[in-house]
Amino acid sequence: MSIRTLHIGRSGLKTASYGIDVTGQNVTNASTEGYVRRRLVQQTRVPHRNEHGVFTGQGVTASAIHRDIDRFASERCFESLGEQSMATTAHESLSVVEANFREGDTAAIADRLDRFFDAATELTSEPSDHGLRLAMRDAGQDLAEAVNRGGKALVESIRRAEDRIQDEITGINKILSDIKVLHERISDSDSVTGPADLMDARDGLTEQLAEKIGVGVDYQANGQLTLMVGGHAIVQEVHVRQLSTSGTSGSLSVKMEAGEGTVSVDAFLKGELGGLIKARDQMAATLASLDTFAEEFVDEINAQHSSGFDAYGVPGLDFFSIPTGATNPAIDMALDTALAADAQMIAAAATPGAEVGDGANLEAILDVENTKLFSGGTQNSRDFISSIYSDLGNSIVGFEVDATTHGAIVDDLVSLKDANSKVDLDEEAVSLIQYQAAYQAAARVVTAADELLNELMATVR
Amino acid sequence: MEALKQSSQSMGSRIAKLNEEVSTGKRINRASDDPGRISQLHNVRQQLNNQGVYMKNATQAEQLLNVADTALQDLHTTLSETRELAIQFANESYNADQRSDAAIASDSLFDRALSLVNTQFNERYIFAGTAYDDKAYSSTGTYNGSTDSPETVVGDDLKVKTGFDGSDLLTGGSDMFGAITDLRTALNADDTPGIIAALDEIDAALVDVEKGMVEVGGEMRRSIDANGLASSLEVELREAKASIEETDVVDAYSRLVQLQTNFDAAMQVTSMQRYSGLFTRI
Repeated sequence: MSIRTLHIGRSGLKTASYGIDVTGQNVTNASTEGYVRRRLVQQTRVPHRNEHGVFTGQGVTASAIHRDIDRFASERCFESLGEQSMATTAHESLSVVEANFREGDTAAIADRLDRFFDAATELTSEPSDHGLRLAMRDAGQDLAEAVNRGGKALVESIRRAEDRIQDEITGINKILSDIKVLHERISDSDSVTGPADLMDARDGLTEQLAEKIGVGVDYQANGQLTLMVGGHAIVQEVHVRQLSTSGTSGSLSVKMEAGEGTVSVDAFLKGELGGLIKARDQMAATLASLDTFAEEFVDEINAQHSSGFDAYGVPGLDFFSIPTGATNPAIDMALDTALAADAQMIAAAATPGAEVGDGANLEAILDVENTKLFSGGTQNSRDFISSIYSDLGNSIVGFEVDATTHGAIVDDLVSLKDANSKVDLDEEAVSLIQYQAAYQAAARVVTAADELLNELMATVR
Repeated sequence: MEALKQSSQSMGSRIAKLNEEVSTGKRINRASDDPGRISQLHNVRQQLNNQGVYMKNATQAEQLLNVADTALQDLHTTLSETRELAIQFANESYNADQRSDAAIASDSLFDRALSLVNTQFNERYIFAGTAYDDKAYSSTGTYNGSTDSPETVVGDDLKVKTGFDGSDLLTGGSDMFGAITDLRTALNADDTPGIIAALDEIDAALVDVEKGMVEVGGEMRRSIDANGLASSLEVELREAKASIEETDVVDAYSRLVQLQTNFDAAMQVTSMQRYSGLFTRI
């Protein structure tokens, strides 16, 4: 009996010692990022049946170290993190672009457009005045430069967004490979000694992945995770699919391995990558609108200008030029080179008499200001430029609102998750006292057994 | 601590935005500050810019039309004097020598009339139509200008003439220089019926000049009205622009102070949350 008591005491000592280890681990990792608190699961050892058929206890054992994670809150948290990260990235990227479209700035396209028509209006008062002609020419030049600047800023921002997408892909694939390695180790690990730390590391990587691409998360009963992008599993146990890019500048697409080939996941991506794609798409749409403005506006102004006559009585040239086949008319819009060199070539007159006071063609040019050239004949040039600005602004505000909303959701979910998973030092202090007492009690059992054995040995001697 | 980090980031950007608002005095510094109002703001700003140009053009037009009006009044006076000369020497009591002396006076009236129809404003011959870089009338009184009149835009769909086709305005229904020339010829020839005939021509020329004065006066009225309209519109539009674009500095400042107070409070709460749990007591 005493020998068994010794074993029972020893099991108590060992289990209490485990408990102190787990508590110590919790306490020391209280501020470790991503650490999920552990709880020792104790279990009665299989009882012994003696020669009389009576079952007697064999003590206690530590059956597992449980990782206190709220799966539901964690899954939702990862998903919301992807949404928040997407909105934040898109908001930040577009805000940088918007710096080139500042409001009320004299360099703004809308302001330059006003000044171009104002200069033409002023020239009607004195069509022969060289100073006023120079002013109209310069206003045209300034307008073209403002459109160029906007176009170049958009092209450059699209390039930067796509460069960043490509840079991120390398890091994302590294995270995916690391998750694969961790899943392999988790499946090989002992349930008491290993997996919790590996799962913490895996969850840390999952959080990074959620921030990068946004993933749907599903905790499996075996402790592994299935991560989804759209309807596609990017991680399933030890199987992961790598990402790659294809396409040319302005239409770069993110692909995911699928069977022998790849599948485009642009539409499903969230996180930073999704945000960059959304921002890139908005920039591309803004650029396309600006190109449309440049093309239509230049065509119309040129048509009117060339129907008039310049100060030499010669039929007017084009006022602006855009090279044939230009990829981005907004970038290539410029003042006609001959007109830029000689403001007398502004075709102010409607008749070829070269009369100095003939400014009738200027009035036709001024009419372009209110001609509804855009959006199926519903918007004039200023309305269209305003809509480009407000479209970009609306998009930025939309992403800002999304970022704030999802940020609040993430905060709530993190609080929920932390309530279960974060180390509570008060609770750990109680556990420590508890395990310490258990250890002392088990030691007392061993001492009692030892005394009984000594008593017995003395009797035998 | 995490909550403080996040709230400080969000407060930081809100404080920066308010700082910008206060320092620029503008609520809208980029489209995303109020995308819905951008189109309205652009329209108001465009109209405001337009009024500035309209006022500039109208002021210049007024100055030109003032000069034109003065020239026509002087021309009217000159033709009236010519008429008086004709009436005086139509009287049979004057002899040939006296009429010959009067012919010299008519030459002077001719030169005055010629000078007046070639009046310039800012190096523009006002009565030469759109060909205002050359004299409207030659030394013989022949019209050299254009039959088109220059116009200046002084409002939305509003133009005023800033120059006149002399052949229409001054000599459309008459020939003032022909009349003065005929008077001189008749005076030199001591030709009473000729003088009387010239008098009729001068009367017709006077009627034309009076009509011209009415037309110039009408253009001037339009120009003054346009200037006044642009001026009052400018005031209205400036107010409209301010209400859309400008920030209420007092309100923005109080919001800024409130945000900073919130931030300080968050810091205070966090510093009070330092661990003081069970471990410190066992």
